[in-house]
Amino acid sequence: MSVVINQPVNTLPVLTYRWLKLNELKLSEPIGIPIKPYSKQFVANLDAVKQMIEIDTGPPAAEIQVLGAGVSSQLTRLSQTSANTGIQIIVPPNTVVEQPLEIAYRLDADDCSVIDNNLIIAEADSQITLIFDYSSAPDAAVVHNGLTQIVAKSGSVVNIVKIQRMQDQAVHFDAVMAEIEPHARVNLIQAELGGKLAVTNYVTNLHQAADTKINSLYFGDQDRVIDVSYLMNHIGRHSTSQLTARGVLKDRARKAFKGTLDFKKGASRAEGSEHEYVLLLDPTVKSDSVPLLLCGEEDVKGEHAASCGKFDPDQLFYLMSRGFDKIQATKLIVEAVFSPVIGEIPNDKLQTVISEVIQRRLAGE
Amino acid sequence: MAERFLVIKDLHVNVEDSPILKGLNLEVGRGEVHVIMGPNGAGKSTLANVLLGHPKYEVTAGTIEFEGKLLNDLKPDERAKLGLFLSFQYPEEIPGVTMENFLRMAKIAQTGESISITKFNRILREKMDLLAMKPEYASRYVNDGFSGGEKKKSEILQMLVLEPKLAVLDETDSGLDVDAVRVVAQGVKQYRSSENAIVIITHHSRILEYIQPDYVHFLIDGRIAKSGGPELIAEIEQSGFAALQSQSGRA
Repeated sequence: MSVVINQPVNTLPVLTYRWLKLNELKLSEPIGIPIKPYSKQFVANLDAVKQMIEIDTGPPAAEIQVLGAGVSSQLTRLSQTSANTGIQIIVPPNTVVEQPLEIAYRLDADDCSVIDNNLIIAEADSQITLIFDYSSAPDAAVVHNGLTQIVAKSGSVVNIVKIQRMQDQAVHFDAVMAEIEPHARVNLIQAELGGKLAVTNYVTNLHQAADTKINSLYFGDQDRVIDVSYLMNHIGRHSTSQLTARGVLKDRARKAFKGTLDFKKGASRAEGSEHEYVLLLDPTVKSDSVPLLLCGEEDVKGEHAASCGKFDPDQLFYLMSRGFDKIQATKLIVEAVFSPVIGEIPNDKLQTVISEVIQRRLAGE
Repeated sequence: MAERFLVIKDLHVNVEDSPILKGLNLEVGRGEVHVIMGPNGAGKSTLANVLLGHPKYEVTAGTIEFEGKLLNDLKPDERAKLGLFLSFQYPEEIPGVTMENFLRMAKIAQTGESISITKFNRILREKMDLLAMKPEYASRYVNDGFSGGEKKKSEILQMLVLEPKLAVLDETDSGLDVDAVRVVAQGVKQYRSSENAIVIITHHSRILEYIQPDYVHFLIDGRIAKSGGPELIAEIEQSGFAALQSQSGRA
């Protein structure tokens, strides 16, 4: 059995001019997602943490109401009704789980689809870190569609790391939704490094003095299409959000970045910022950015900045004159763009893996 | 000259299809310090850039040989590995890469030998002291937000750390105050030895109050118009380039 995905994805919360073609991403062709069980073990270090938390692997028993549309209502619905995997976690009050929980999915010809539906409930003043790592076998046409819901109760801290490093034939859809209760924090680190199409969506409701930090990196080369969307709903007073996105585009890659700060009425003294920096390595790339600021409340602070840089021949000459060959020089510049985000990943092995993926892509391997 | 170190023969170079160097000849021997002076637009910076192989500068005729190797078709990194170094007139900024990382990686790229961070940093601190650079510059991004003078010091620091065989200093003294010129000159003196050579490109003689060159050349309209010893500097100070230009025009 398989489901055909044809609806547009990542529709903007408030539409802009149609001619900009940025209101949504229309799929160039319908995408079929096979629905069958996922066969591999996917939690690397279950034993280390299972004493401390309540954890179930597999999709949830009952349907949970979602915060937003996610990547698209069709895809979110798919994760809710037909997930083939997932984890359900409740972190008890005051429990601090030091060791990150590692969830790794490897897609290949046998496991050609991952439809995960994850729920993380962090009770008051608890703390947990989860690392999701999606990779795929070379030349396997695979699809990932994910839904991760987070409920961070008062004073809790939830860190989510999402790394997507699938191969060229892969499609990646991923939605993260976070309800952040008073004085709770959700930190999201996201690395989009692979797939022919990668679409991610993060939506959060920030209550009083709630905070979310997003560190996002993307690397697009060849004909990759990347579409990332973030929506911060500032509901509570003194709620804060910081979004930092850093990207590099090469060859004919296309990227759309959509970041929305929505200050709801009553969110006085709320502060939100979004910064995007993208390095364009080739003139043939396409980079669109749509930073949106919506204000239903006057006493707020919102800032956004999107900038792009080019790797110009003089800079390349400077580095090469110091003994770096062209690939080393490019890698140096690219790593400089990414290092603030990579440095945040709480796992040395994954930092190295990401660095290696980038090096291989730059070398054209 | 006892051995052939740097030999430039009949060098013609175009920039965006217009000829800038028009048959330049120059020989630099090991252990020598050469000064190249000349008016704006004579081709001084072109010479500096073409020595390191900037792709924008097209060699249409002539040869550049270094220690018997033809450089014409070598990439900039290959020339650096042979021991050439250029102190840039306008050093590039590399945000996100710290000075100490950058220099250590460059050193490794050039020598092919790894060097421990501790050992490298000790050498780096030593050279920085010499240039009166504050230690915190090591952890700052390469040239990022540096003043004009700091950038030039950073170039000399790179020269001292990378220890090239031939250093080309392109207008390293321009835009510096008197103190900075003295510090930069001190760095150059420290580097100078019988094993390497220095080509100083400048259009004023201030740095030459501190560094005694072996040879002085006037570069005018894409050629070396006149060569001689340090006594030529006084000549230029008195009569300026205009007189020389008209001389070479008559010739």
